[in-house]
Amino acid sequence: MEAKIIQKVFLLQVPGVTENLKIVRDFINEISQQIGFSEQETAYIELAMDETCANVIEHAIKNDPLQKIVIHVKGIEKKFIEIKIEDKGESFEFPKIKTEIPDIKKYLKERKTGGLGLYLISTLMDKIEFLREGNKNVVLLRKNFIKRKE
Amino acid sequence: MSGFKIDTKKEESVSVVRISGFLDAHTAHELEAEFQGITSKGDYKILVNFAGLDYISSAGLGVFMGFIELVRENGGDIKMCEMNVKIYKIFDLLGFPNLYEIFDTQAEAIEKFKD
Amino acid sequence: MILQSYQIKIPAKTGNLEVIRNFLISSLQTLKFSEEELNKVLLSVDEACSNVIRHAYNFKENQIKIDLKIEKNKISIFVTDSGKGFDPSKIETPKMDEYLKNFKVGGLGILIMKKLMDEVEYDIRPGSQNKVKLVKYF
Repeated sequence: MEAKIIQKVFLLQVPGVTENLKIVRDFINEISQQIGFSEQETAYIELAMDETCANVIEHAIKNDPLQKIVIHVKGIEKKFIEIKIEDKGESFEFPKIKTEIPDIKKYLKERKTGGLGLYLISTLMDKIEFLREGNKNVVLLRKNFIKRKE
Repeated sequence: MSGFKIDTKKEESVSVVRISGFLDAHTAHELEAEFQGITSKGDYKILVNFAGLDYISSAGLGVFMGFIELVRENGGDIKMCEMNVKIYKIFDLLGFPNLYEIFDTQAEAIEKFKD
Repeated sequence: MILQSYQIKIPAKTGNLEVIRNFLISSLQTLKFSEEELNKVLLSVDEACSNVIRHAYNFKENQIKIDLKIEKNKISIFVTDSGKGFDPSKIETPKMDEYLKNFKVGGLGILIMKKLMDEVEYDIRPGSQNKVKLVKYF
């Protein structure tokens, strides 16, 4: 008999304030483990998720507790995790994704830290996409499971 | 219940800032205020002990970047110690170890401030 | 007036009870609940979810939804399952030993919820959606 492939589906909705970042991290951490990602990969997914939501809270929702962040997660064990983050805040343009390591010394001079988060997300995940769907900002993240050599 | 704690003690001439819990976009301003307080007193030798810290995001990393220039201009430094592997990996990903001195133990770091 | 609302939807399995507890602990942490009161809420939700997992789903992996509404003087928690639903006739007709076991465990959970929360309401609609509402005043 063929093994059944079960897609796991999760949803989390929280008011868009920074104090809820911890709930988001705990939530994604748990799912990542359930999908089978290692402790290190889970830590990376958690960080990418935190950076994305911190961006959404800062730029789109403006730390407004009446606005919500909705997070849909789906995944298949030992295959992938896909995350969709939605908000109905102000439409905002994410800066172009940088894939080069940012020049830390230059950042230092300009006292600029915003790009760091985005660099982290694009480094840690296999896919990052920003969309505008109707009145919603949507961020898509995906990480594929890579079989480890034992 | 707060997810982030700071405890600063003067050891010889060094301000040792012990941080614990998580340093994210919600708690980063607490560390910023702490650094503000230390530097406004004219103390620029700062050692951050990471032993109790479980998590850091770019908001937390930004605080170190925001103060390092001021501190070094005044003849001081921000050094770091007792960082767990998970957090070190994030620092490493961004090339931070080239920018900050990171020590295994607090004693080593304090010794280095005497140079 | 609802001040803040939270929601989590996850596969209904006992391994996720801890996830639900952690979600509630974090969501409720800014409120003025004593540890004792918080524990009452956690245990009641745990009972409601356990019932869903045990009865409504028969341990099959389906979704369970928890809504938390924070108002000025109270919190309301809704535990909803929307899978095949809760079919009372199925629960009343299994073998005697299973029946006794289920009855005891299920009955105890309801008793706990009623003792620990200020309001407990059921909205059972077999085949569509079952909802338990738990309310606690500050």
